[in-house]
Parts: sequence; structure tokens; C-alpha cells
Amino acid sequence: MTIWRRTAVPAAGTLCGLIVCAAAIVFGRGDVALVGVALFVAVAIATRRPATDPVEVTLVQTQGEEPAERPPGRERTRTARAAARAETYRPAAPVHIEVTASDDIELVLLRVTTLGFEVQQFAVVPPARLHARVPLAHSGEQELLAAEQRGVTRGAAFVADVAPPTSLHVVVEPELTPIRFLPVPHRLRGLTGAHQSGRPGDGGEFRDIHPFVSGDRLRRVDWKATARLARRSGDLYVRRTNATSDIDVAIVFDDADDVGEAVAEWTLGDPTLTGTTSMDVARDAAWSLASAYLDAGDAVAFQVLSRAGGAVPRGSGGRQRERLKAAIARTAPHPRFLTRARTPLVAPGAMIVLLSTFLDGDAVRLASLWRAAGHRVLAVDTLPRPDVNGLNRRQLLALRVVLGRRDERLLDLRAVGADVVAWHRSSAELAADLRSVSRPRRS
Amino acid sequence: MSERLHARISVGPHLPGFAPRLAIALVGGVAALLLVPVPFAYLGLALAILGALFPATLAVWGCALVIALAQLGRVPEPTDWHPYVTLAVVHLLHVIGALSIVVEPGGVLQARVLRRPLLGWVAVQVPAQCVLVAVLIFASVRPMLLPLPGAFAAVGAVCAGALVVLVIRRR
Repeated sequence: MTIWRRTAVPAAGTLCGLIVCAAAIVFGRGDVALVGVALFVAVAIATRRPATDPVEVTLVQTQGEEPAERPPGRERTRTARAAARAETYRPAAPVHIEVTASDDIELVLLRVTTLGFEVQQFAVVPPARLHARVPLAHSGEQELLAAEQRGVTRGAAFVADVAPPTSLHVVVEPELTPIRFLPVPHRLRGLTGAHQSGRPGDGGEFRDIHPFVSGDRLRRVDWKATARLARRSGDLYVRRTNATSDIDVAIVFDDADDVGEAVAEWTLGDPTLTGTTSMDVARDAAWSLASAYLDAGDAVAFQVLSRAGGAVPRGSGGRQRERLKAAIARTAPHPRFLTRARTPLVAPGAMIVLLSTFLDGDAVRLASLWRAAGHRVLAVDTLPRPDVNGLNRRQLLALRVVLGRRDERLLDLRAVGADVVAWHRSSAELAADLRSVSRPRRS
Repeated sequence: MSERLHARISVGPHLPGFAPRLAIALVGGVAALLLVPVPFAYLGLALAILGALFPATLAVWGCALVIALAQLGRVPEPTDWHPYVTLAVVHLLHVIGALSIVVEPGGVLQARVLRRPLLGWVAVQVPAQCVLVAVLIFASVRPMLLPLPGAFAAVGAVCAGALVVLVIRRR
């Protein structure tokens, strides 16, 4: 139920008309009195309180995303989806704002907030249809657009109280980076899969020539090697291959920080100014790695450091892909304040992908624990390249201290045997880093 | 600093939200200078500017009052343009003053918003100007008959009727 409040307009018009009429009567001027009467009539016509709650605002997101112009100087995104749109940078979501109201309402005051920060105000005549194009600045769940409306009656005699805002939330999916080289645990345990295991078995590449032992199949006997190597009659040599194996992957998402490229915006977090944020990078990295591991037939689990909710238990296949995609896209920043990061449970021998900005020590502590338990840890640095424009000397100094301590944490990570990959880099650099950490080596 | 991302919202033909305030300053200021004798013209001008800058002060109606009362200093003539313009301007200031109170100056005003208030203004002005012509002709033909008790009664009846309508429609 809308509450209507009378404005000062009827009182001002009536008072003005009364004074003019009184003066006209005193001075005996009919022409002047007519001015006051005109004001009376104007006020009388306008002064009618609306009976119902008539203003309705509907937000409709139309299908598809419209490409937006690419800002100058920005690097093109590297995903297949973005590559398909050759000249686009950030897509924009088209939204229609439909305003309807009864005839009593002469105009509707709309206050539209986009991306939670940018406010625009409109005075429109119902029924009206506004067309908005909201840039999709970030991935994840976000309030795309919110609208507050106030009805105004004829002659601005009554104004409605601000109605509760109507909002439109969307979940923007992270972008997928194709990954050719995947790091795997040092010791693989399964007997089927797509990864080369260190153990003898079937399905893998050539391992060695080995004397025939009980259990070897006869078709594995290498007759040329036997003819060359046999010392006595009855000696047989078999050609052994490596086994293939699948792996368990636990993607652990540090959701404590969400800082953007623009360091000056770290305190306010205006999403229209931050540029790419660490959560954007982390979502992209998590989804790209999860997708690549799933493509290889591995079992992938997803965990969030600050809370148990949002976790996806290990699994593989198409349905697990959809579950992971939804969970990663909906992961939002969740400050830990004084509480420490919980230690997610991971499968024995699992490969752990730890996504963090490493602006605090929790992730390093957890990585050390996992390394001590024999897990291979891939630490993905999700901090975007800092843009220091707009910082004063003190802020620059503070940033140097923060980044210096972060570098120390990354060194600690390397010292305990974790592999560190910075994700917010060019495609070639990222591919080279992943290839480097994917090379087989002994722990 | 990163470049700010902007959402673009189109409403069709539109005016800036400060257009009603600008109209108050222009209409009120020019009318005050044309219709009001000095030094009261400056008072009207100041009120128009104050009303444009701060509509909540209701200075627009003060400006309208100055313009309307300035008409008392002139001899009513049917061939004089001042009474007609005074009637139109005072009513127009009331209309755009009402608009400026509710429209945010930093916002966007759909052009269609002006249609209904201006149509209402025309709907009142057409009969009012016709009556004004008749009143001025009547006053010029029989100037000695004014002020008349009958004229007072007529104006009083119209005012009372308007007030009654106002009270009834408010409920």
C-alpha cells in the first residue's frame, strides 16, 4: 500500500491565489482577480489523492548478451568465447524497464542503480519502457539493476513514498581458458584414466624391457628383445608399458578477498572502477582448470575456504561439470575477519589447486599442511596486475609493503614444494607456466 | 585508474532534469523585468533565481505574486498586452514550479512529461484569457462601475467554488 504525501504545491498555489484575489478585491480589479482564480482552478483540478497503489516497475532481461565497444588500451580476453567475438571486450546485458501506472499518476520518478554503484534518475510518463544496456563488468552473481519508483499525481500535488526497490540479479558465468598442460600428482593411484602413471600397467607409453615373470601375458613377450638378451633357453623378455590413471583434484577457492586492478579502489570496491578483480580471475581459473580436468576424465571437487556452503563433492562427468560451473559462478567474497580459514577435507593423494591472492597467510598455512601430507599443491595466484594510478606516496609505500609480504608468502609456498602460477597474464605466459609445472618430476 | 563502466539507459526524447528550473529562471526573470516596475522587478528576478536554485523555498510563487500584484499599477486596457501575459506567466510559473519541486536536477526528464501539464495549462488559459478579454472590455466601457459589489460577489463565488471543489476532490 503506497502512502501518498501532499506536497507544498497546492498550499503555495492557493495562498498565492488568495493574496492576489484579496488585493484585486481591495483595489477593485477584475483582471487581477482572474489571475488568482486561474491559480485556484489549477490547484482544484490537480488536488485529488489517488486511491490505489498504481505504480509498477518490471525489469526484464532480454535474451542474449550484446557486445559492447572495447575500451582503448585494454587487453583482449583470451577465451574461446571472447575470441569468437573478435572485436568485443565486455558484453553488456540488455534490460527493459517497464513502468505502468494508473491514470491518476502524471509522472513516475525512477531511481535506477546499476551494478550497485551508478545511480541515474529519470522522470517518465507511464506507461513507459526504458531500454538499458548494463556492462557485465564481472563474473559471478550480481545485482545488475535496481529501480526505486515514486508516483507523482497531477500538478505534483501528491508524491508517493519510495517503494521497495525492484531488482534484477544475474549470474555471469566465468570465462573458459583452454588448457593443454595439466599438472598431476606425483604418484597416481588409479588404474584407468588419461594420465601417465609411474607404475607398470596397460594403456600407457613404453616403460622398459623386463624379464618375464609370473602374471605377465604371453602377448607382451618381445621376441626380438628375447633373441637379443636371452642367456639361456627359456629366458623370455616382455615389453612393459606404463599404466594410465585418473586423479582426484580438489579445487580450493580462497574467497576472503576481492580486490581489483585499480588499487585506489581497493577500499571502496566500486565495481565500475575496479577493473578485473581477484574473484573474476579466481572464477575463471577455477572453471578453466575444473573443465580441463573433467575433460581428462578426472574426479574434481570444489571447496571454499571461508565456509562449508558452496562446496561440491568429488565427481566427474557432464552433471558434475554443470554443478561445478554453477558453484564457481555463485562464489562470492566472504570476509573471514578474525576467524581462520577452515581446512577442507580432500581425498588422499589428491591434486590440490589452491586459488588465492595470498594477501594473508591462511592459504600458505593450508598449502604447507597439504604438502606435508604428500599432496601436490598448485597455487594459483589470482591477484590481478595492480594499477597504481591515483595513489599518493603513502599509499604507494603501503602497497609496496603489502606486495612485499605477499612475495614472501609466495617464496614460502615454493619452499614447501608447491607450484605457483600467476593466472592474470597473457595466454602465452600462462600456457608456458602451466607447461612448466606439468612436466613430470620426482617429489 | 581504470575507466569507469557506464550503463546506458535510453528513455526516448528527453530533457535534462534541470530544464524546469532553467525555465523558472528564464520565464520568471524575463517576466519580472518586462511586467514589473523597478525596483520591484529586481525582487521578482531574485525570487525567480532563488526558486530556480532552491524550489523547496517556494520562491517561484513569490515571484508569481510579485508579477501578479504589479498588474495593479496599470490601468486595465483591452488593447494592453500586459494583463494577458501576466495571467499566462503566473499560471505557467505555478505549473513549472510544481514540476521543479519533484524532478531531480541531475536526472533526465522524458519530454512527454511536459505534455500533460502544458495541456492543462492551455485548458485553463483559453477560457481564462477569453474571460479576461471580456473583463477588460467591460472595465474600459464602464470604468466607474468598478469596484462593484456584484463583481466582488462574482469573484468571491468563483473562489469559494474552487475551494469547495478542492476540498471535495481531496477526499
